[in-house]
Amino acid sequence: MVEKGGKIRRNLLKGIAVTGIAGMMVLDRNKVKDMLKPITKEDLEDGYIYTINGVEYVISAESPYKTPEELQRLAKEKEADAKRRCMESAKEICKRLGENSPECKLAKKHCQEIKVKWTLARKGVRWAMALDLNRCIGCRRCAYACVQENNIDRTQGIEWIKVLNISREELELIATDLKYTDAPYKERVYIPLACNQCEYPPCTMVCPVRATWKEADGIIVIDSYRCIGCRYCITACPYGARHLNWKPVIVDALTLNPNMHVLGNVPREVHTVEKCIFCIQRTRDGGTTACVEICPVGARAFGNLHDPEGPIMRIIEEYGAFVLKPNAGTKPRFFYYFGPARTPPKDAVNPKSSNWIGNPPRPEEGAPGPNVLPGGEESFNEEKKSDKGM
Amino acid sequence: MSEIIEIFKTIWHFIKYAFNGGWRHWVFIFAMAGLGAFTLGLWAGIEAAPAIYVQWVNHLHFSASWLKMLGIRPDQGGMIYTDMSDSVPWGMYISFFVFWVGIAAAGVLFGMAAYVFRDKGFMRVAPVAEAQAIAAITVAMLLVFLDVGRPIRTIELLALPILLNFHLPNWHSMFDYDFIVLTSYLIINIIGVFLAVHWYRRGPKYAPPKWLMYAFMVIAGPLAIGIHTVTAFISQALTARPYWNSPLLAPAYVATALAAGPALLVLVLMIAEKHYKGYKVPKYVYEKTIIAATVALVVGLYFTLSEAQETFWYTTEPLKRVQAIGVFLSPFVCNIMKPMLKDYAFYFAGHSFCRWGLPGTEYLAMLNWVWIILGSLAVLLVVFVPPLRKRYKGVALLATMILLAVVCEKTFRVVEPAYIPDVMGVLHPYFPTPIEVAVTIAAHALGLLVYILVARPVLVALIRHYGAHGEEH
Repeated sequence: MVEKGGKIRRNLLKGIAVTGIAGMMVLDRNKVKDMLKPITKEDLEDGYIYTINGVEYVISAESPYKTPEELQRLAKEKEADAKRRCMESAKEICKRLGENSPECKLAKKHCQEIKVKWTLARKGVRWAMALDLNRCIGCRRCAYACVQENNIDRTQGIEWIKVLNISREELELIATDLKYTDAPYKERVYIPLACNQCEYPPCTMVCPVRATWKEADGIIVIDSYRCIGCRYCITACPYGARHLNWKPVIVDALTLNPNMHVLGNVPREVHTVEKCIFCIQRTRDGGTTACVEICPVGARAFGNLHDPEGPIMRIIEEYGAFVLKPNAGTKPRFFYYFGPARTPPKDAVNPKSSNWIGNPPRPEEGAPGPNVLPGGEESFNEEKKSDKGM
Repeated sequence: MSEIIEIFKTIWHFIKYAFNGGWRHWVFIFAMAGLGAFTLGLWAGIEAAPAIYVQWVNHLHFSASWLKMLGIRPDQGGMIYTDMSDSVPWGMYISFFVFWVGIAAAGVLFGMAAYVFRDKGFMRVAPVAEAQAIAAITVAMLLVFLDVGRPIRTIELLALPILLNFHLPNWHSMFDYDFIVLTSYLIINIIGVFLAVHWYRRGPKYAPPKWLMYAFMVIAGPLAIGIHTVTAFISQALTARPYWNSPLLAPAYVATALAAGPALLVLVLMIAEKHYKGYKVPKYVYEKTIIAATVALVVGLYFTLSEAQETFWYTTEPLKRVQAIGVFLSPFVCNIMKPMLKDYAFYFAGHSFCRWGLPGTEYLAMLNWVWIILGSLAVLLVVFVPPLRKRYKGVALLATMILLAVVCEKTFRVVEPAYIPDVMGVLHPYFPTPIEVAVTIAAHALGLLVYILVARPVLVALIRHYGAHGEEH
């Protein structure tokens, strides 16, 4: 028994020695050193760098389209498709309203103007957005502008921006009211929410066909020509930012926005997923997003996170910012903060008025204002009223 | 040379005995094929119509005329005809997909008993169990194919790259791994059934070599556990869905799978014994199978208890609590649960607290309690009433109870609560629409068709090997 055990041990030692010697012979010392070198963050984020007209652009390593030529080809394909779908719609409009109607001319003009760009991500840029919750009045104009800018199908009720109406004392997202009709009230906070363009997006990890990926400037894009509509990314997103086209997408030539980007607002296909892309067709060409542009109170700021003089870094330094669901660990690039001044909320006595916008019309002494409800304060508080009724 | 001829003879055996039956067999085949074709036509003509049109005409440049002749149009139909939405993106199809993956996983349990432990009784059962696994995987994969929005594109971008050059489109995605294990398990089981029939059909003196079946089990065993584990991995690591986000999900899937699969097989074997005069299964096989299924059922119930404790006792995670209300709340426990959950329950359900689950999805809570009560009852009957599991009728009763309990547990109950309410607190009650039910039935009809077509040649081969009257036994 003892001899047998010794034999096994000897054989084991021999085996280890032979493996070691073979390893030393086979492996190159420098290669081993390279293997042991720790991976830096830059290594992981590396993409394919292309210099066009002296400007450095990056194509993300995650992207299935590795060269500008491939993207260009895709853009051409999508442009032809968008033009065809637009013309179908324009023909229908012209048939209905006549060839000489201004609608027909406008629709045809839109179709001719369609240009699908394939602008690449610039090197060293990381787009981010900051939103002042003290200023936001919950008017949902951003959601409306977003629908118009990004050619979202009007027949399905998809809105990339949802405005969460939450109690001011606790920012618990599940106790939210999405279907409010009246705002702003002083005890509520309004949180416009779209895609957070996370640093570690769970949605791109789960995609079985790499139809969605993070671009080098941090925008998470979807290629509508690759999406298989499995809805796994909708399941994985902690912010409910993704939407599926559950029915055929209607392209309306009259309301179409002809300024398109190949990975952005080009009309999507049926049964594919879509989401906020930080208006990639505007921002990559030096513009700002539609929601920033439309915001009546200037609650939103958009800029490059890596720029220390930019609006985002200045806001973070000045006020401090927070993100939604930090425990999801996705590192969102959509920052919220409570700024120094609050837009005056609606008067509880006079809830239907919009007095806060300009100078309030001053009622004469003693007389009720033009917008005051007959019941005054009591009619506003429904719970109280019902108690009294009982 | 003679081996090659024998292989062709085996293939001929499969073809011959799959269709060589009485009028009842043909009625069954036509009924199942007709039902499947009709409802798949519904699927292609309504639910998937615009996607099929866009893919074939715009991307693959087929002619649109014959698609239009079939009633497939680009501007009508779509998945809008299901009750799925952005809040509840996975519905009935995925629920039943999970269930049938579980049924498939159990097939190898019998192979283990037969080929690894060389149990004579289970040897007669194992090939049928593999046939069941083939049918179950067919149903599961068909359901996923019907569920995705762009089925043709799925084949182009996912199935073909993986099958032809083993290239994972996205190596992060569990969906890809699930496709790999499901396909491998299907192929492995086809091979297993083929091997068994290849020898058994030649008579009592022929049996597949022991080492070959042993090697087969070494590959198939881990794969059987693997298919269900990877299916659970699809959902259990998602931080966004706290209801799933626990390491218990995969073990719970496997546990209930090992209860339901054998229970279904027991019922099928009883039918086979009745209709195939020469086919005999020893009685102890039934008893042992029921006991094994009960052990798995106990583990599954224990996991449910653990889940309930985790979601109610200390948890302060709001979404998990609300989703758990949707599963566990019922009139007879509401007074126990009231102090722990009143805030969120009031928010979603209003002040009428003593109800089943959340408004609109009462059926989830009902299914959950049917699972708990029926499962516990089955366990009690198996343990404390031994005569029941020793008689044919008793075994049939117990198997039906176990199967029903797991159907209640592992269809809607494991999938839907994670979406109700969704991540932003929107409560979108999900209830399958008629077209969803019809398409699910179509997948099941085609699965039954596959089952009967594979099981018949297997049974004929088993009768030839073990003799018409079971004299070897």
